[in-house]
Amino acid sequence: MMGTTIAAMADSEAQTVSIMTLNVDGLPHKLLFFNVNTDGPGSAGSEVVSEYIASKNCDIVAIQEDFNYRWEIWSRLFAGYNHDEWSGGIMMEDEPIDYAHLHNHRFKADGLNMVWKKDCQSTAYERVPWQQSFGKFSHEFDDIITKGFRRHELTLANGSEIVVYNMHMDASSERDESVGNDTKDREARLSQWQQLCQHILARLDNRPIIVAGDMNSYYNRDDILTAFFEPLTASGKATVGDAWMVLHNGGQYPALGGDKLKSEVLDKVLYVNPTVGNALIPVSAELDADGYLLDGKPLGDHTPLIVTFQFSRTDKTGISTVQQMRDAEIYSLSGIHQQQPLRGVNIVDGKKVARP
Amino acid sequence: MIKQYALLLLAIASQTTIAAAQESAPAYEVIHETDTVWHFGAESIFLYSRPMHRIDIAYPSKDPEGNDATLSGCIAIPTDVLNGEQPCDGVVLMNHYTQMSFDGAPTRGNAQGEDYVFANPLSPNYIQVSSDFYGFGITEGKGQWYCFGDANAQASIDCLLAARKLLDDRKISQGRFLINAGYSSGGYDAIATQKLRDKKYRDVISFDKTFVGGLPFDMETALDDYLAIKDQPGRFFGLLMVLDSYNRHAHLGLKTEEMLKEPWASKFDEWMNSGQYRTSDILDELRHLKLTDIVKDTMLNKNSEAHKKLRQALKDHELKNDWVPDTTQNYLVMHLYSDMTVPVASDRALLTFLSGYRYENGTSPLFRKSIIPEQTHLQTNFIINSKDHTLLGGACYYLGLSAMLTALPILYYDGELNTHYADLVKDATPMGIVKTLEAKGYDLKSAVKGMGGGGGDIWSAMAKITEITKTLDRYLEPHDLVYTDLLTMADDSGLTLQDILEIYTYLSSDDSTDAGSRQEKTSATQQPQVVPGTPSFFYQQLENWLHENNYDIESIQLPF
Repeated sequence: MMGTTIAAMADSEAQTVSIMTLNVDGLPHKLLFFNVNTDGPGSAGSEVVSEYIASKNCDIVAIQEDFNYRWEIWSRLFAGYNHDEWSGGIMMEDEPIDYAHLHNHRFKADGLNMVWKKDCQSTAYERVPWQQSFGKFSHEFDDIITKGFRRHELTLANGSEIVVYNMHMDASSERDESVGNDTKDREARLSQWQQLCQHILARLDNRPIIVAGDMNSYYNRDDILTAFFEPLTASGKATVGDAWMVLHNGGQYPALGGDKLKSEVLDKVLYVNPTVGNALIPVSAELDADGYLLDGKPLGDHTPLIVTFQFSRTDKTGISTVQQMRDAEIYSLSGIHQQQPLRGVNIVDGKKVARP
Repeated sequence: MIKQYALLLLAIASQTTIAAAQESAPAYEVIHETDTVWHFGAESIFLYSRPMHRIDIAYPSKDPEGNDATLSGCIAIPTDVLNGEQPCDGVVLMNHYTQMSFDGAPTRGNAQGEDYVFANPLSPNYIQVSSDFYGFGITEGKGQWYCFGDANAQASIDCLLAARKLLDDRKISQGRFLINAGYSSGGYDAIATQKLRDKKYRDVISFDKTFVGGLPFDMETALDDYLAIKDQPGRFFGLLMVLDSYNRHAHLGLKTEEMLKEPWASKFDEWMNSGQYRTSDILDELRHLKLTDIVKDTMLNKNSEAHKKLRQALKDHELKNDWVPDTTQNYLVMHLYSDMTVPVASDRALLTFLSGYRYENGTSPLFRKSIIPEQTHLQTNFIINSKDHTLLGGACYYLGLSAMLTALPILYYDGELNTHYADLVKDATPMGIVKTLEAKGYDLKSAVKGMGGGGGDIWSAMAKITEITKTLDRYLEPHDLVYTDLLTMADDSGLTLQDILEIYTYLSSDDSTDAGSRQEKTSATQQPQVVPGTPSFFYQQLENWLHENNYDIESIQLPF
């Protein structure tokens, strides 16, 4: 989608939803005798991260690497947000570890977490591990935990329904990338993009989808367009966009094998709009490097990416997954919300209802 | 017609393929199967235990003379691996160490140190395969071929192939790693197995590691070492077994009474061939005797015909004969520096053989000695100074094997040497370690100066220390060592003299003058008498050592 088209589609009076994706770098500084994340925020820094997240007032925050400092990360968010399941930390639980055969051990944690404002409602939730990943004691240790993605069905305060995916994909180290030893990492990531695409296609309805997370991917390095964009688009059921590329690169995507877009980061916020139903239009995308500092130093090894979407369509007719009747929400045939419905046929959750 | 011809060719090709497949995957017959428990402990005090499932098999192979024969061996699977509670990491081909008693055969349930490997707290998840070797198990009483060239290698390889087939038939995972192992005479047979693998089975078998310890690789060198200490009480039992083995199988035609003194000559045949005695029984009987108390001078005298025959037979069957090592294979070799049962020099010959091997027209050693695991294809550890081949040496070897088995799946989990570890050891040269320590804030230069080594060359400094403080001698004397032994240990284990010189030059580099060197040089040459504890004595020892170890003396800056 081109930016101009989006601008034209976006209705300034339409409702918005904002989302932040942030890898909170939540590994402890030390595990057993080993220094693993000495430059991470640690316990005290994670509280500052929490304060930062709360200050941005986003509707939804997709968090990755929420491992050992979950209470610190949630500490400033309890008041305004609900959260999903925390799947555990690294070497901090009662989970027995067979140290003699450490290579057989995999922590249950996926490091994922999502928070949403209390006026939103989570109606369904699913956690899915990646089918393929690579690297246990090197290649960024992906196999030590159970990486994957989480899918949430959310009803926003305005009654709009969206689906949000939060994920953490296979990482590769700068060392391996520099010497061309990241082939298996790239293969794993490509497989994960394909798995994600299939998961979305299998569940696609008329709700728009936000796909956010730490993808560890660049368009010039990972064939995201072939693995993810094209199958969705080719299905004829949806269109796909990357908020950052749409707003900061005119909707153009760096070519595979070409130069990396300088401003591109590993974290991404994509959106999948079903061809029938509601749609999301990105209206702003911000990498808040300047705000994510403590004493002039970055709070973690990732920069928060904040994207605001507008709903270009708010047609609720035909939504098949709404489970509850909401008598207060009355819509016109054209899908306009009527606070005081006075005439005509009204439709509630796809059914005609008599005018009160 | 053409079609028929083509079909005929196809049929021949198929038969050839089947024959080849049959050759590489021999059949087997299960002769016994049982659940057992292996223990880790000493003197019947079991600290840890591990249930094992043992399958004894008979498999087609060759006898040491190359005739068709059916041999026996065993496959031991940790029960938790068999039950699927633990994944299998690999297979260990264990070559058993010296046995005399028929009860010592692996199929008799006698764990050959493997209990230490499998039942200790590390409990590696491997399957063990072990041939009885000819003369034990179902061929018991037919005479063993003890340390006789590569006589047992085919038995070991065929046992592995048969075990693989059984494991495949039963759909038991064999894991990712294949280890070839053995201690003492088992180490000798493991090297023989590696040699046979390099010659005939490169396409079928690839060992991820051949881990051997305390082995008499060069039998002639071992003989010389035994002769050098023939007048001291020692553990000569292995040599007696070698005498028996080579006399019998190399057809030396020597009568027992020509080789041994009484009463040993009368006991010899029963000891060696009845299968009723354990090695420890014989060792106990001979413990306080010298070699000259047991073996006749005709065997010990280098000029005697009998001795010459023996020496020639040892030469003729040397393991290094007709062996082109496969440089993709990985070795780990350990030996106690003062081993009294298997003298260390015979194992050092293996290091010399491998590290001297080069590609055609190549100049660099392909097997470079290193004490750092996985840094090269030849890890060595000769720094443990003990005489105790069995208790300490065996424990070090089997626990070392267990540690290696445990480390391999972690080091190679991602299908390559762990990149963090690879980066760590890539530059782990002795000089690199010095630089790293300095980078971490250790002032090594000051430490060297503090020890009196601030100027000149290392030899002058060591001589000075020796002369002034006697510290080095005082420390080494109770261990029956002199300082050149330290050089040998270091050299065997991958720290070369050049490394030592480089480090010393660097650490003393702030003192730009070499006056100390010149002074010591003069001092050394001015002292005509070689008195222990003096620089001259020190230098003489050093010079001898350099000659013995084939160093190019011109290339080393010596102070004399």
